[in-house]
Amino acid sequence: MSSSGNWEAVIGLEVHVQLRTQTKMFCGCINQYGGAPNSQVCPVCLGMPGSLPAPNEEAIRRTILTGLMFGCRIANVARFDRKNYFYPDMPKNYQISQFDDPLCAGGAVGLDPFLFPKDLQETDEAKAKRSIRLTRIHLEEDVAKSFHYEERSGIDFNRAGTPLMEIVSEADLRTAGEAFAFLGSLRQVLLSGNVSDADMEKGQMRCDVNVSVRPVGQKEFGTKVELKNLNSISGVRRALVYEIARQIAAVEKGEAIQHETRRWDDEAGATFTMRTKEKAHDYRYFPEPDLLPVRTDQGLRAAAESGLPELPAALQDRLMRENGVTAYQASVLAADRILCTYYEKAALGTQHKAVVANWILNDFLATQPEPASSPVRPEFFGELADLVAGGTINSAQAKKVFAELMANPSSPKALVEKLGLAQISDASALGVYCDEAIAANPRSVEDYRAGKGNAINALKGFVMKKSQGKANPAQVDEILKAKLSA
Amino acid sequence: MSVPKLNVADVAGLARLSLTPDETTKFSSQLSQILAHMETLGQIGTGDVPEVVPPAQPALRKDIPTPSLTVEAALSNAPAQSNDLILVPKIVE
Repeated sequence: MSSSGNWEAVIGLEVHVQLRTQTKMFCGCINQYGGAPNSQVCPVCLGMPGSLPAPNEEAIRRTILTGLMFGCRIANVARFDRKNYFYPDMPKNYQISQFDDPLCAGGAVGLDPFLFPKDLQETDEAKAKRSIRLTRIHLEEDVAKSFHYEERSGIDFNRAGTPLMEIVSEADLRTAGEAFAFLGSLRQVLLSGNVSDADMEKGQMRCDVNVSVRPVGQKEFGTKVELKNLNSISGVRRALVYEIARQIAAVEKGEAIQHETRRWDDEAGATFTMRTKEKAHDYRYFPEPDLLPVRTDQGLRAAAESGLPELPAALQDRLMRENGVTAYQASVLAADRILCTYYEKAALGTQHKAVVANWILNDFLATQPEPASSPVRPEFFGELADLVAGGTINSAQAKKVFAELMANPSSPKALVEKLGLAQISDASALGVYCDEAIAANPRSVEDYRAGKGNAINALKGFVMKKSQGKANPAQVDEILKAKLSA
Repeated sequence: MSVPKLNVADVAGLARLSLTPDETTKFSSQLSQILAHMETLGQIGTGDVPEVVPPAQPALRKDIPTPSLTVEAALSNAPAQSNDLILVPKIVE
């Protein structure tokens, strides 16, 4: 999709992620969305003269943890710098950020094939499982939120000073689908570490895209364009599909690409010039004189290591290896920690873990999309799987039990009794039914004895009907064959 | 010793200062003198001097909320306000 004929796109992402902490980055105001305007502010986050920043240990720990999850190098000594510019959402006139010595450098994000858009999951680009290098991850403070009116702008400083992680990728991405999978994979890992909720539609994860095109085989990059106003992962994909096609069409007509920032308009489905970049911003970074360097080698890194979760890729491997679920199921489970915890509880007490995965992912989620608040206890699934495997009920009966389980959640064993479904596996009771079947169907008996193996199905059908579907089919088969060959 | 070049007009632009041509000339020469003076530091060899880092991690702030200002106090210095927002001239980048 990114390359028409002989062109390829080169894409790099800058992703801002809001950290889940109780308080802001440099003061004790609460870090919470949705408060009344300017109710979560103090002299530090309002940028009052004379106020001093006090770094949030938890925000630093979570940033290091993020670096560890992506295989970054963690700096032993990291520093904060001032990024200087004027804008009303940042009254100090500088943002505390990191420039020369960020907390994390290097690392990579693996692209999960199942986190590509659905229509691309079977393509080579999804199956390639590429690894996208990261340049760095640094920690900074967010700015205030602006509301623009006719003649004025209004500022709410509740968001000002909240901890923000910036994750910068190398220009390794080549297609809109890869950018989509990158953001999905990134988000999945961030969720697994409980670092952020990372929901783009809630602004917890924000993404700027740099994209250029070049002839396939050319080493030099083309002129890059920056895209803004991307509010969802699928929006990033749509914007890139449009912008890559726009750039290719332009260069094929012999037009030069402008070095500019373009705004994505999701409704119009197009990008529009915001501003041209005549010269690079000069932020005059210099070391933040109010903060000492951060030593990560004296407890901070160790604290982060102790919080390392089982990463989504490792979790998927384990579920496939130990529980026998499919690659797709493993990916669905790894993408949703709450669902995965529910499934693991459900599968804990049974040997039939793949069957439980089928029940939960195919049938249960369709009726109850929020497993955490479902009245259906996870153990019930293991119990149901055991009832089928142990021969108490057959799979048709299991479907009835399942429907009842959704409607009136209680133990499947109790439901089997309540519905009067228990499979008849008692040989003498089944023998009686089989004798009746043989007596009532002389023609089928004759055919079977003459060598028509299929004729036994009519006898089985008779037994199933007589027993109201409760006869154990495998046992009936055995008994009938024994009686007919006698 | 070479005198470092400084484009005073650019720097003034970054700092949102408007200078007259006379002021630009005057400050160019003054700032050049200051920079030339600071260049003296460059004559000292520091290649072998190890970087100074704090011997221990200074205490960081625990992630525990402390009270914020009241909205009234927070807005008390704002020249203009509406709906508890601080009003500023419209700036859309």
